[in-house]
Amino acid sequence: MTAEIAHRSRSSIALPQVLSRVLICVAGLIFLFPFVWMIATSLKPTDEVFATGTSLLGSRIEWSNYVVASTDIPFGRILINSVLIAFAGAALTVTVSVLSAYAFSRFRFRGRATLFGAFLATMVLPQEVLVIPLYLMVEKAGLVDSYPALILPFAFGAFGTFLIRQFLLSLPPDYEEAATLDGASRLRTLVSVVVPLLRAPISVVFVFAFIEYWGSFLWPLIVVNDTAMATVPIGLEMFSGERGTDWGPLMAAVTLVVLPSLLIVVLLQKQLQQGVSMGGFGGR
Amino acid sequence: MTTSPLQAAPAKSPSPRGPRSQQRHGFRAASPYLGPGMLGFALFIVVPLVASLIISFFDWPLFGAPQFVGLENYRYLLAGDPAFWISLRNTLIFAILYTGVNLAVALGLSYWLMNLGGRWAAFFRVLFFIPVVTPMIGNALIFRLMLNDDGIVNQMLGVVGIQGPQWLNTPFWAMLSLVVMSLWQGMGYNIIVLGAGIAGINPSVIEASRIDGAGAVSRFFRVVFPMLSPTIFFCTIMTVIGAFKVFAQPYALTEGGPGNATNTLVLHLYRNGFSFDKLGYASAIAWVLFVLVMLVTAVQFSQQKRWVTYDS
Amino acid sequence: MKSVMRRPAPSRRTVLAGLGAIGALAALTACGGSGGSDPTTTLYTWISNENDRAQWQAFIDAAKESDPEFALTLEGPSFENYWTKVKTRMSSGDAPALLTTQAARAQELDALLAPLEDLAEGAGVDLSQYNEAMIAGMTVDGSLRAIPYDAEPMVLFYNRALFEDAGVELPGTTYSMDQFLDNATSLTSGEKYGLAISAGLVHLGMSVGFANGGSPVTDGALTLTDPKIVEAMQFGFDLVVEHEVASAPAAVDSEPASQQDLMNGKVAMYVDGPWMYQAYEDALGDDLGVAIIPSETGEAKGLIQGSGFGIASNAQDQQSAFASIATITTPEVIGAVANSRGTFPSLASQEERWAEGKLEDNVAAVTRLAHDGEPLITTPTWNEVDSKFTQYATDGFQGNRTAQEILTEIQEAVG
Repeated sequence: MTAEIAHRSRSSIALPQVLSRVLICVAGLIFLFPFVWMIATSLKPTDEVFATGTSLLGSRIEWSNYVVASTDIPFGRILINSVLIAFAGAALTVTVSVLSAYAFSRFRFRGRATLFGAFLATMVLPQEVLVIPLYLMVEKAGLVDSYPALILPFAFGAFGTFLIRQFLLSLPPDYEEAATLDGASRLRTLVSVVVPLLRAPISVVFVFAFIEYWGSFLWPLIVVNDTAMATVPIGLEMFSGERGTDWGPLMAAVTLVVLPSLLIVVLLQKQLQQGVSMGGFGGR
Repeated sequence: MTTSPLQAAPAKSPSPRGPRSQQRHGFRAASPYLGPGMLGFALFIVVPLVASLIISFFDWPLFGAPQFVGLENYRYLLAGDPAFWISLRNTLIFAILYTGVNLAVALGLSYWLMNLGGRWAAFFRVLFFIPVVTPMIGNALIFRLMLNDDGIVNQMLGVVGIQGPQWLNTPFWAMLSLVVMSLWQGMGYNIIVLGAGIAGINPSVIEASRIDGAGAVSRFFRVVFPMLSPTIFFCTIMTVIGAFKVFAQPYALTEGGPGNATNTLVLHLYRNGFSFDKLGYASAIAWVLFVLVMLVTAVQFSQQKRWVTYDS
Repeated sequence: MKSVMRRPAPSRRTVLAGLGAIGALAALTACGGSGGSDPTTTLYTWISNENDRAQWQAFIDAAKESDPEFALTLEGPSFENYWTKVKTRMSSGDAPALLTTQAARAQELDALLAPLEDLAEGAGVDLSQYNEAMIAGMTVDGSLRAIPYDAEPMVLFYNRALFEDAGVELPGTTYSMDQFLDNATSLTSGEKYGLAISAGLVHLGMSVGFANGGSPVTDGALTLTDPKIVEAMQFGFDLVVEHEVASAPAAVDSEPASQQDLMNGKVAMYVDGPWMYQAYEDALGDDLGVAIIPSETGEAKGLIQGSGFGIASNAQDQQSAFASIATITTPEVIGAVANSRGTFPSLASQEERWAEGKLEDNVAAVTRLAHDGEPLITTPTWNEVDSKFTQYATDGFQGNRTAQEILTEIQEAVG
C-alpha cells in the first residue's frame, strides 16, 4: 500500500521499476527451484536420478513412485493427525491466552506484575531445554504415543497472552461496562462482548500456534513411535529411514507433504499479512 | 506503530486503563481466568525447568533406576566430552552466520518489496514464507538430493566447468550447506515480520525524505532503519534463540557429520538422552543451553539502547 | 497500533472448530494407536527396506503353513533408529509384547526383555537345539532373553561377471588381504570401483579385524584400540584414501547406497551379511558370488551376528506372547526362511535347506565362516559406539584422521 503513493499520479511505470520486477521474479524462481527439483525427481525412476544430469525429465514419467510413497506410510492418517493436533493445539493456545490476558488486564491482585514478568520471561526460554523432564512426565502418565502428549506441553507459552493483553489494554472498557449494566455476568461479557473484539489478535495467535505445531519435530520425535500416531514430519522421517536413498519414492513422499503445507500458506496468507502488521509477531 | 513484547519491560506492566469500577481485586475473582494458563505454565514450564536441573545431577537411564552422581555430568561435559565443545562451537558459528545473513537479507528483501508496491509485495512475501511451513525433514531431504556428489548443484557447476566439492562430506562445506538450507527455510519468517513493520511506517515520512532528495539507500539508513529498529531488535532476539535451538536441520541433512562438523547442542542433547540412554548428561547439556541463551539475550537487551529507538 | 474495531464477528466459529477438533481427536484416540491390534501378535522390529519387510513376511508365511490362523502385525522404525526408539516404544501403554533384538544388543536391552526359560519349558520348546553361541549371546545375567533365528557371518559378496571381465581369478574359502587388494585394484577402472564401503561400524574393517583375531570387546569391556582392529579399520580407510579402489562413503545413508552399487554392477565387491543374500541374488542372479572375508593368513575367523525374538518385560500375557514366538521359531519356519531369504539359520539341522538352490562355492564360503566364527559380543554402550563411529568414519575415509585417533577417541569417550 505505502509505496504506491509515490506512483499514484503516474500512468506509466519507470524503467527501474520494470527491472526491479523482473529481478524479483528471477529471485523468486531461484528460491522455488528446490521445489521444482523435488517434483521433477519424484517423477523419475530412481536409477536415473543422478544419471539425467540437469534435465527435469527422466526417460519416462514414473507415477509408481507416488503409489509406493502413499502405500508404505499411511499418509492419510498422518495428515489427519497433523491437522487435528495443530488445530487442537492452536485452539487450546488461543483459549488459554484469552483467559490469561483477560485476567492480567482486567484484574488487580497482589504480585500481578511479578507473575506476569516471570511468565513473559519464558518467551525467550528454549522449549528444547525442557524435553527430558517432559518426556519423563509423559512416560509416567502413560501418555507416550498419545494426542495429549503431542498437544498439551506447548500450549502454555507466553506469546499469545502477551499479544492479546496488549490489545486488551488499548481497548476501552465501555462495551464491557454496558454489558455488565445490562446484568450480564463477567464470563458472559467476556465471551459475547470481548472475544468478538479480539478477533484480529486471536487469529494471529491461532495462525502462529498452528504453524508451530505443524512444524514441530524434536518433541514428536521423542514421544511418537507408532506410525499411526505420527505427524507429517515424523511420518516423513520414518519413511526416509525405510527408503534410504530411494530418491524417486522419497521425493514423491516429500511432494505429498509439501502440497498440504502450501495449501496452509495460501489459506492463512491473509492472517499472515494482516496479523503481524498489527504488532503481533510469532514467537519461536 | 508496532509494539513488541520487548518494549514492555516485563516488571513494569502498565496498569490497565479504564475506570476503577471495572477492576476486581484479589486472586479469588481473577482465578477462574488466571487458573488454566498459570496451571499449565507451572506444570509444563516451571516444573520441568527445575526438574531438568535436578535430573542433571543423576545418572538417569530411560529404563531403570536413577543414581545420584553429583557434579559428575558437568565434569564430563567440561573435561571429558570433546563432542560437547565442538557442538558448542558449531552452534555459535551457526547462530552468528545464520542470524547475520538472515536479518541482512530479510531486511533488504522487505525494503525492496516495499518499493515494488502492494500486490507484488504481498505475493512475494507469501512465496518466501512457503519453506517455513513445509516440514524441515522434507526440506533437508530435498537439499540432500541436490547437494549429493552427483546432484544437481554439482551437475550445474559442471556445466560451467567447475568441479563442485563434496558438499555434505567435507566439514567446511557441510556447515555452509547447513546454513544455506536453514536460511532458505527460515528467512520468510522475518520477511513477513519486517515487511509488516515497514508497512507500519508512516508513508509521509518516507515521502518527505524523498522530496529532500535522499536516494533509496540513504533513505533506508536515515529513515527506515531507525523507525524499524524495535522490530529489527525483536527479530534479532528471536532469530538468535531459534539459531541456538537448531536441531532438525543437522539431524536430517548431515546427521551432525562429517565427524562432528555440524553437530549442534540440541542434536548432542537429543542423542545423549534418547540414543545413548544418558538423560542426566543430556539435562546438563540442556542447562548449559538454557544459561547460554539467557546470557546472550540479556547481552542483547543491554545493548539495545545503543541502536533501538522507541519513538515514532 | 491500527484500531481493529470491526463489527463483532462470530468468532465462535473458531471456538466451535476447536471443540470439533478435540472431539475428532477423542474419536481417533478411541480407535487406538495401532488400530487396537493385539500386543501378543504385534512384533516391534526394524524395517529398513524391502528386504527387511520380505524377511519378516517370510516368517509369517512359513508359520501359516502349520497354522493357517496365525497372524502377526509388524511395527517399527529403520534399523539405525530401532535401538533409539525401542526403549521409548516399550514404555507406552499399548506397547507390542514381542520385539526383535540382535545378540550383540541383548546386553543393552536387558531391562526390556523378559526371561524365557520357564515359558519355553511350559510350551515344550527345546532350547538346546539352537546355535550354542547365539544362545550364549542372547543370555543376559544368566537368563535367556530371546530365541535366535539366525547366526550369520559377515561375508564378502562379489559380482562374478566383473571378475571374469577383468580376468581376475574368483576368490574362494581362502583369501589374503594382499590378494584382495590386488584384485580390487584390477577391478577398478573408469566409473567402476573394486568395492563399495559403507561407514557403519560392523562392516569391512571390523570384519577383517575379527578375521585376524582381533576383538572390539574383551571380557565385557570395550577394547576398540585392539591393534588388530585398528589395523584393519585403517586398511579399510586406505582402500579409499591411498589405493583409491573404492569411493568414500556418503556421510549419511551410506549403507543403502553401497548395496545399490553392488546390485547395479557399479562395484565388484561389498561386505555384508547373508540376510541380504536373496536381495542380491534377485539383482545379480547367477553372477552373485560369496567369498570368505580377506585376512592376513587367508584363513579368516567369522564375525557372527544373530538376531532373535523376545518378549517385553512389561507384557501382560507372556504365555500368549511366547506362543507367537514359538510359532515363528520352529525348525520348519527357520528352515523355510533360510531357504527363501538366504538368512543363515540358527539351527544346524536347517543348514541343508538354506543351501538349496545356492551355488556351491557360495555355500562353502558362508558355511566355512559360520562354522569357524565367533559371535560379536558388545557392551551396553554399543549404540553410542556405533553412532559415533559412523559419524567419525568420514574423517577416516577422507584421510583427515587415522583409525588409531578415531578409535582412541571413542574408546576414551565411551569406554
